[in-house]
Amino acid sequence: MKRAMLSAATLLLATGLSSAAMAHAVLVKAVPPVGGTVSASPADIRITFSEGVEPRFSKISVAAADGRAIDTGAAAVDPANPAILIVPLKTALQPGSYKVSWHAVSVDTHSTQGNFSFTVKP
Amino acid sequence: MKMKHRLGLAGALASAATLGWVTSVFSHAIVGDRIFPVTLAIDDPGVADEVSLPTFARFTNADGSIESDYSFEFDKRITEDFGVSIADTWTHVHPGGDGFQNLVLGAKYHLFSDAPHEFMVSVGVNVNVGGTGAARVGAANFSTITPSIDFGKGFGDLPDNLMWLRPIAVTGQIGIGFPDPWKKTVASIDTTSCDVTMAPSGICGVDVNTTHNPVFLDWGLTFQYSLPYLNAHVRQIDGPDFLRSLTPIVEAAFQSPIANLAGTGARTTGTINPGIIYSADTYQFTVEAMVPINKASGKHVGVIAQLHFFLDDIFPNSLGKPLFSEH
Repeated sequence: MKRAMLSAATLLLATGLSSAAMAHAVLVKAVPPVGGTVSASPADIRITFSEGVEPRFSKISVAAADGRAIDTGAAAVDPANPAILIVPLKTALQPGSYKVSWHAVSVDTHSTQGNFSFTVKP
Repeated sequence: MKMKHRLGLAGALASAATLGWVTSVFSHAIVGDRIFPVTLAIDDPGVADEVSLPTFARFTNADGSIESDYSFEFDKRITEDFGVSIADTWTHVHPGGDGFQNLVLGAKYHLFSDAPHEFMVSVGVNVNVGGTGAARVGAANFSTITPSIDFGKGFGDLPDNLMWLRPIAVTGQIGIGFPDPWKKTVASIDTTSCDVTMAPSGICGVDVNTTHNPVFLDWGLTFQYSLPYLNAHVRQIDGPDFLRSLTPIVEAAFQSPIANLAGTGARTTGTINPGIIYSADTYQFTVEAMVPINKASGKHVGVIAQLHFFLDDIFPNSLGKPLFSEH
């Protein structure tokens, strides 16, 4: 019984690890960093997910502290890494706090979302 | 004629195998920004395609026997919001023997979600099928039906000045375990005390054993602090990657007798389980200590660990999707 369970678990684990590119996309890191402070306006927002994402169904939006939406370009993935979603900022950010909201659809269509803040130093 | 009350197998479970009850294993859930991890001591509010294989627990029962449990559970979505499950446990008790516990069948329906407030509720029912396990390891010979309600609440909606508390989540479960109504009380006659040589008149003492199977309130809570949530929503975690996959957790699960006690002496039992969860893309590994809350719940601190697989991530287009899906 124990041996059978462990064998099945080993098989599932191997299967799971070999298909690690098919799961929910979770934010791993971002530029600007989550909760961080940058000294100047970034040119774009870059979010690295745990999985590859579909740019057509994924988005990043940015809002100022007063709720005003910041103009951005279309979201795209890094050609070298489909797990990095990039949205260019059309205007330079003034010093202050900003909120980034994202919605990601992974390559196997699982949907996740989230938000975080960062600050541009005066 | 004298009447003797005793606790019966439901009571035996409460004393000898109470900790085994907490080896049930459950699904994960997503609402808004929150991913509730799989918990070991109580169910979570999610409905998903998952398998727990194995869950291992080792602890000392109240009577001093040492028990090891190897459990599995398979959860399958029928629709996006409705799923069924099957679970069983192979138990080794020393001294005592080994064998399977009763088969446990379940059904759960995702009732309500509030994404902005990271809140969700499900209702479900589990049936412990009496007589399908081995009595020598404490498996009851009667069935128990347990309707329950499960909830989860993340605190991502806290204001900015409390942002460090946003990774906190609480989940809970409350259910009532009803024993088979035809076996709530079982009477049996013990005539072994009749010794015709000692009672030549033919009159002898007879023991009538009345077994009461109490109704139990099954309830519990988990308290979680999600480092993945902290990293993604509050403050980036620098350092080794595995730190961003950890969720410290404390689970607590209890059984309180609430009806049909009749002098059984049944009392609240349970454990408090501090532990840690490691969440990967397609699987989760959890290890927890099991701290009995009183002597009736066991002796010494036990341990429980689980390897859990998310079938919706591993087989998204086949085994991991609902039987009836819009997608």
